[in-house]
Amino acid sequence: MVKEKSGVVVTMPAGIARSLLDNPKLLYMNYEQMVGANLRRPSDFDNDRQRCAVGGILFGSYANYIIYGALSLTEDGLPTYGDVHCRLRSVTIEKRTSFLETNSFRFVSEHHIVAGDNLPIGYMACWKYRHILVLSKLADRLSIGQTESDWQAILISSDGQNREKDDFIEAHIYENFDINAIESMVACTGKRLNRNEKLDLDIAISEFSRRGGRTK
Amino acid sequence: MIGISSSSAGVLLLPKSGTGEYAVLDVVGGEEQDSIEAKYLYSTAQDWEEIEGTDADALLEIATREYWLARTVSLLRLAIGGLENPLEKRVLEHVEEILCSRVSSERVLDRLLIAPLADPRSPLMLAKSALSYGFSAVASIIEELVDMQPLLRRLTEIWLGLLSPDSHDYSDSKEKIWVTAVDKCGIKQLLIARNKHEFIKVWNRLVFHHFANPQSRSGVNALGRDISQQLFPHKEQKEIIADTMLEVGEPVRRHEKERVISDYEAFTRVEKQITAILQAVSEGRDGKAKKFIRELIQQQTSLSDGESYAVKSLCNIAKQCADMFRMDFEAVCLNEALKLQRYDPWMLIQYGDHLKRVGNYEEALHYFNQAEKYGEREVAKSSEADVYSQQSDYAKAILTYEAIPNFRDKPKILNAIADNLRKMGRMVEAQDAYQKLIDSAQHGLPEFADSAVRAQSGVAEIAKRAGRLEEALKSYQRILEQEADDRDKLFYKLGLCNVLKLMDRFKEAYAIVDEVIQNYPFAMEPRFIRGSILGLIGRELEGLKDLPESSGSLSWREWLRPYYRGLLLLKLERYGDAKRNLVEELSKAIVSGEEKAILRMAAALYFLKEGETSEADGILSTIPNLYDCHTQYLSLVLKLHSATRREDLAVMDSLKKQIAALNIAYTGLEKAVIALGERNFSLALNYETDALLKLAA
Repeated sequence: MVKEKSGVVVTMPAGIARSLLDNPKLLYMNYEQMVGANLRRPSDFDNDRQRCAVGGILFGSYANYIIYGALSLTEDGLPTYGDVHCRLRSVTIEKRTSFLETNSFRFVSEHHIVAGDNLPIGYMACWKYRHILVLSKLADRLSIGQTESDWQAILISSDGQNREKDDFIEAHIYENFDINAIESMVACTGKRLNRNEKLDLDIAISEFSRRGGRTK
Repeated sequence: MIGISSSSAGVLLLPKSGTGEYAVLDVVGGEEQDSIEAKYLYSTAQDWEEIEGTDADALLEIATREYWLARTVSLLRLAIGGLENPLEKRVLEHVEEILCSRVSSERVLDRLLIAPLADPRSPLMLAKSALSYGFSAVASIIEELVDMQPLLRRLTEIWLGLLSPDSHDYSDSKEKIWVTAVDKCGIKQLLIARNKHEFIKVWNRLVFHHFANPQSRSGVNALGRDISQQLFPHKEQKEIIADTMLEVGEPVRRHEKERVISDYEAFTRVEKQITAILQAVSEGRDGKAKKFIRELIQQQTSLSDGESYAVKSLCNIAKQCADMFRMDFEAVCLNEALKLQRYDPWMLIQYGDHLKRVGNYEEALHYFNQAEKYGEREVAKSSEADVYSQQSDYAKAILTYEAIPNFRDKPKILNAIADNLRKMGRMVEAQDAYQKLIDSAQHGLPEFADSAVRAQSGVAEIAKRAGRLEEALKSYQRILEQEADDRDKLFYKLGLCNVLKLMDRFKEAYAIVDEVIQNYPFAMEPRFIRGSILGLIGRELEGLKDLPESSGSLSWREWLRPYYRGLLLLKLERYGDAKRNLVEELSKAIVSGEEKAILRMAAALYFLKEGETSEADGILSTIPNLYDCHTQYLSLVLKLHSATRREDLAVMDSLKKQIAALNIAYTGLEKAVIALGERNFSLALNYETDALLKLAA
């Protein structure tokens, strides 16, 4: 099931989704990329330093070009990252996406990896072998009689509030994507949005649906 | 201080002193973001921008303004693309709120003008929806966006045609120059530039403020000159024609006949081509129109005696371009025609006539002199007199007409003399002159038959000016029964329409002008009149659609556009836009005689509405006594308005006596006088605005 049905979901703020629909030429980009590799390196936040370091440890000079997502069996992703789940068309990313068994921060921290270390074997997979990565991580939680939705709940676990508690398989997509790469758009449930965010979300979902995209 | 902002992420990165690092601020709330939250920021690409400000507060203000601007533009673009109904209303409501408090409509419009719309009329339904919800700021932007489409298309076509890689040495990409122009320079200002000088002034501002590199500046400067040259080709006409005259000794190249085609086939094909050319010109697709013209010339000149057909077609197109007030394209057509018939005196006269209408009087006279040399003395002289008439030198015009040999036997000249007498206010002499023409026709003099109708319209105009509106109305109705020529009928119908407007019979006036527009879809003057009628019946926003922003070059009679547009905008309380149309356009307009006085009154009305009495007085003091009783009545009322605001009792008393002495019934303005007596200035202004809308030369 994972091999056949799983894909990558990126969860983003409603305003970004709306912007992508307004201008199909716009690209979605991540934090490192948007603040730039050198001149625009922001903040003295420890976490940020860590993130940059984590990116460097995992991806070397490509860190600035990585977009983060989550492996999912459905249209849902991690609600702690935005207001709208966007599942990407596999054909647009399968040749440039790899997977890590958990959040990269946690992974680097739990494995005590520092710059220059070799990465431990058995925790990453390319697109073709993502189901094996799932099996190696979650085998002890799988049992006979479980449904697809049970598996989804095991694959992505989040309380919707605290990212620290998220458990998922992290997808690393090399370089940007635009609106044409998005297969479905689904609103995150249980979010408290302000008026502007609510409007952006409704526009994004409505427009995406009007253009033939899949929504719930 | 330099910061970095992203509108899509809604953040500002502020440098922290001494650390080389940045803090992340939320531009909506202005708060520094939580460190954990900040690292999960996402944005769309291409919207990161370095901004400069004196301190952190200034940077935040700039970033916030930019955020709301980008948000508004994005929402409007989505709404223009089409949203579901309930969502559309929410979006428009949100945009209306932003426009009322956070961003300037002008800047939003500039950003929306980044490229022509695929369907230039498509947003009109959205404007209607916005109005039905009461979101007038949104409706206004959308309508302006639609108005600007032909101008924008024209500019973009020129732009795309100019920017071949080897035409200039640009160190910046053409995309960057265009985006900078849209973002920073105010594309609308470029579009509405009325002449080369205005265009270059706006363009230079762009170059100076946004291109630091000298090589870039020089390249972008040259680009601006090239564009302005194509937008405003008039100054160069002499050179072009001189070049063509030098080539007189060369044999005329004839295209080989492609195939033998029937006259009927050729005629219908040309008709379709002309319609396609005019359609393209009306939409601002000049490149396409020029391509069609080249094809038309090639096809027609391949036929036997083809040059003369091609010249006729080009002159026909030129005439209709003039009706659209697209004088630049009229020049393009006439230049092509001159290339085909270089020494034809009729061509020279037509060209001179074009120069006269764009206010280039010296050049016009030069061409009429040339035409006279080539044998068309009478028409050339008559055209020369027309120049003086347009310059308000009616006496000189009459002398010039009278210098034409045997002018007394030439009804067209006699009509022209009578017209000039009327414009001078010598109504009795004018009436006599017209009457003699009518009598001659009635006595069966064949050469006078054609001119009798025109003379009757002169009589109708005299009646109108004297306030005898019923008489004027009947005259025009009679004329329309007699006149067979459709083109002449157009003018008489407009004359009738203007009389009906003065009689407050707006419904009939509307029906007539609307029919004219159906028959002459490319003529702009009837649209201007329809716009004024819509303003008089409280449908100002609809009226504005008939009164688009400037089409570029100035020309004779085109003053009606900013005049009526400004009055409608005044009624809609869009004072900034009204001022641009009524005050700033005043000095540029090509007008003469009483038309100038009407324009001045409209500018004075603007200042009265804004409570700037001294400015209004300054303008009103330049208005002399006028021969048209309605215009005179209004000028006295406006002067009374100003005097009443100043509480200048002596002047008020004198003006009231002058108004009473006019001895004509003019309900609207009588009410204005009563309102002024009650110091109800706002009511008086309403009547005065309507009175100006009813006036048309």
